[in-house]
Amino acid sequence: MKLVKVHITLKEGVLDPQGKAVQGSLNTLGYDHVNEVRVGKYLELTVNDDANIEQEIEEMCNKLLANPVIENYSYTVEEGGYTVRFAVIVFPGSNCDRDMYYAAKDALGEEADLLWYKEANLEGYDAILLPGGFSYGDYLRSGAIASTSNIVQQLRQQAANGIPILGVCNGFQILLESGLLPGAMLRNKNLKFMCHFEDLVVENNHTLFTTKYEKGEVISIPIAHHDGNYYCDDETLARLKENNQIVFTYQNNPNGSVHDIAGIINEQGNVLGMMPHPERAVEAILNSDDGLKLFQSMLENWRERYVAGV
Amino acid sequence: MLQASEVTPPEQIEQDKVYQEMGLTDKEYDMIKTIMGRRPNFTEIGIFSVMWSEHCSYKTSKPLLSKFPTEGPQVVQGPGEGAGGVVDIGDGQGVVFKVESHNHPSAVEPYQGAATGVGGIIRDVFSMGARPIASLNSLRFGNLITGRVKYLFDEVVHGIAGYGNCVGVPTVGGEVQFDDCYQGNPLVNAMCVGLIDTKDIQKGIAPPGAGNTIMYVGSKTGRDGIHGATFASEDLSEDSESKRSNVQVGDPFMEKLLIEACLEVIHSDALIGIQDMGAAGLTSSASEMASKAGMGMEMNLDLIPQREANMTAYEMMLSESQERMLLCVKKGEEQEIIDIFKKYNLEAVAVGHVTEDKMFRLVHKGEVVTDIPVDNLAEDAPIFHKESKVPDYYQEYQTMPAYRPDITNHTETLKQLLQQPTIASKEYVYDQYDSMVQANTVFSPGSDAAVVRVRGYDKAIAMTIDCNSRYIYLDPEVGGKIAVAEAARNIVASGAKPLALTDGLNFGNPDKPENFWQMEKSVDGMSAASLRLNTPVISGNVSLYNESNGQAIFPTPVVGMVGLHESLKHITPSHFQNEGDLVYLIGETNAEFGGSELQNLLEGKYFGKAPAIDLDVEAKHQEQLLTAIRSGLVRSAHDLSEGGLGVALAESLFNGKGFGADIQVEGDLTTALFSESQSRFLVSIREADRDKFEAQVEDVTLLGTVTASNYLNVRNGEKEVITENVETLQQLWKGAIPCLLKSKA
Repeated sequence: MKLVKVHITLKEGVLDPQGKAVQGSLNTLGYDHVNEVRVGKYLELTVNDDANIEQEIEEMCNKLLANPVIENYSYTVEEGGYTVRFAVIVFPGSNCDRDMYYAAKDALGEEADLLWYKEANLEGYDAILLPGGFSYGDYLRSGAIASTSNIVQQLRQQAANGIPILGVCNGFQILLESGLLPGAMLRNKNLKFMCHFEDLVVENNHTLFTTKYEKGEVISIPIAHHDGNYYCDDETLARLKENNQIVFTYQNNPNGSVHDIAGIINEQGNVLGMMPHPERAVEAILNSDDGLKLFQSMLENWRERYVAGV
Repeated sequence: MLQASEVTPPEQIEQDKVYQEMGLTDKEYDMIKTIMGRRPNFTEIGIFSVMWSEHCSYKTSKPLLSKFPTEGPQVVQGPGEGAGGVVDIGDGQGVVFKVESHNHPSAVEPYQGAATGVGGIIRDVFSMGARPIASLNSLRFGNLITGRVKYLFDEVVHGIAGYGNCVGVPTVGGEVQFDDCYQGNPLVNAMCVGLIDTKDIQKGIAPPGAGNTIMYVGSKTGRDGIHGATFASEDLSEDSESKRSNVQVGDPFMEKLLIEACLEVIHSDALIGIQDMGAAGLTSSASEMASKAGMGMEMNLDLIPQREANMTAYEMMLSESQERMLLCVKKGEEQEIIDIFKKYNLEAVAVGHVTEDKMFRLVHKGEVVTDIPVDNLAEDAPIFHKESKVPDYYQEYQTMPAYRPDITNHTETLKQLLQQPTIASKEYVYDQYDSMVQANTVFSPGSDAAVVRVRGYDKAIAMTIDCNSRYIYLDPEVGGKIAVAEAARNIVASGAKPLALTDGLNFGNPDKPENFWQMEKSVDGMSAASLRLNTPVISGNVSLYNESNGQAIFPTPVVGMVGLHESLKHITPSHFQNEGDLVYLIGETNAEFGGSELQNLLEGKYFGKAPAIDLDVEAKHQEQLLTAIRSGLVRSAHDLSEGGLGVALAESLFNGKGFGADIQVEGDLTTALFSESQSRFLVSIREADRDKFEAQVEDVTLLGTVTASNYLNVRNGEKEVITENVETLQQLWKGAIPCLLKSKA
């Protein structure tokens, strides 16, 4: 992918009434040093790699984007474009790794890599996804053994760097066991595995993962877990509430979770753990696409940061 | 104990008839002596006993299985060529599927029995190079009255969930029936469906060219499950509890690693063949691999990874430790295989090689402990033709006057039927299964057929597993036809074309001529239906000796069927979709109550004739409905089965959308509502499509409309006969099984 930035400005000497009006307003506001304003256009194009990219851009500018009679244009071509690179960490026993991969790659249309835990290098990834499953058979405690693997050291580093990290189901359990998120998981209150769609309430839509949702929006996302009964002590719960760290709650609590909690975020706001599976709800044919907005929110927020960074 | 007597010299084995303890008859022992030209030693006799058990050799059922149609343009690979058959679904892709029973282990240790049943069938599928994409199961229990049955039911479901959820294969469908005949001998049949690029199909064949290496991968061998295959070929009795050591313990985490590693290894040129160590463990996988290729094999048992100290050759060869695979690898290229498995923390170990002499030779501690002509173990195992006799009960039922139930309150009867555990919602069961992992599940359990889309293509796979054993008990031939037809009906109702089936034949002791007659006749019926409906049999499993304390189960030949949606647009729900849609019945209804749920409800037993089935009519209805679905005329379609039209109507409303229906039926009300006549569907269509639909589909009756009232209203002539709130009906239907489980025995 390439990112093409095109600037279009009026040719020198061509009258720019808009620029004149803006200049006038700025002067009225007291910015007397502004002598001239010329208003132009700025376009960003994300383009698939192609040998003739420059030739094509010239053509596009001449045919449509700019009017060569009155406008000049210039452009730059950069690597990477607006593609977000997702890392999906695969532990022995992960089983939703491909589902995460396809959610990022197909449903969202971004780049994703499945990284085997032993050889994974998280450097250079824009977001990290911890998939569901039964890492190490969930022997001892769900997520416990995975949380001691070397990759979790890298994960801590990336979390500290502010990289968005999403842990779903077993991924959430690993985040809890590794201390990246507060609390712990108990067995479901009915002591059975359960798998069905649940209605979730979006409690906080100001996170990197939820800006595309409305606050209070009810979304249908499947759960599939045995140990999804979230527990934390009163002090932690108070802190979660105070910091607005509770991101999703269950409308009809299925598993006994404290305060109906379905998903929480860390204090810095870049590590989200949730038991329900948004990656299973990204296409209408799978009976819900309510999870897609979560990935789209990640994408949107990344873009904003990226553009701001540039 | 068997192990202690391993030192038993060959003479003493013959003299004390030690072989009988292993399930071999005197006649079989004499055959073995002739084959060997000497008396077999303890290890050899153990090997023969498992390889000649019904579970491995099909010695009783083979003559019957050969009657099944197995060919068709859609069949890429039929039964016998690999672990499972393969059907073509276009785009260079195939679907692999097979059903397998784990009845006896589940009766004794339900959690592990069911769990390892799931594990075994999944291994069969990925050992062919296919990625498992869905599991289904067919379960039979006694009525949910005694504590023991409730325990078996809960633990079997728990075991399936515990294993299936962990390995990441969605459990998308299944069926559960309850009848007294299964009280001491529950049935646990698991089916797995895999997706494969047909170029990657692995066959369990060691190729000509001796010297190729045999490698062992997966869990270490322990003493668990010794003689499991033989155990599966015996009646269950009071002392079966003492055979708990025959039950294997599953490790789904290991299985998950094996799946990923094996699906990677199939792309290695170093690999020649791969086979699961299922029933009869190392013995069957190794001897079958060699025999099918027309070769022999020599293994050094000292090299077998062992979990326990001082294991004997007998124990190693008969162990049914789970999660083990046997590979045939090009000589000199072993390291490539070792490296792939190492990535997954698995060890691949060279344990032997392929030979030209067609002998199955085992060396242990420097001594040859087994030397058997391999074909006599596998390809040329003996076949027995059993005696067959028409049972008295059948003759009696055939001559009985037709059973006509007497009902006055049809609303009450409908409510009772909806609470019969065989009909009631199985949500309690399937909520415990991860039905959505892999993110391809379109219809999960609770639909007529499960539907799983094929990622990246405009197509989907429909699958179902089905068998009404009550009809088969009453009339095995007619019931066998119905079993196949009903499975196909489920597939068609979902909008797919049926492709092929796998059969899970569960019967009683075949030594009883009446039982063997049931086998013969049901196979005849199934063969006729699969031929007519163009659904060849591509794989299967046989489980005999399903008896407890001398009482056989109903003959239960389970049919697992797979179909193809040629476009995602054809996927059709079983529930009504819109207010104002017209409700039609396809097919004719007669007063047929033999083997019906209503008969069970009123009489507590089954007698009389099974419902009749005309396969030409069946085929016509299925073809016409499928055409109508593909033309976009059908909004919902549901097959009629247990409980007849009344139950089907109620079920079609149970999707929480708040719909009701106004229905008009004519003639005898009990027949109209509760008869179990075959070859029928309940469909809904847009009112505007009425003319087109009636022009395309024959034998249809307009019953009424879907309403927004949340009430099911049924009129018979001028009379209002049912007016009931749908929510009330649904609560009864949903609550029945949890309620039975909670009530004290």
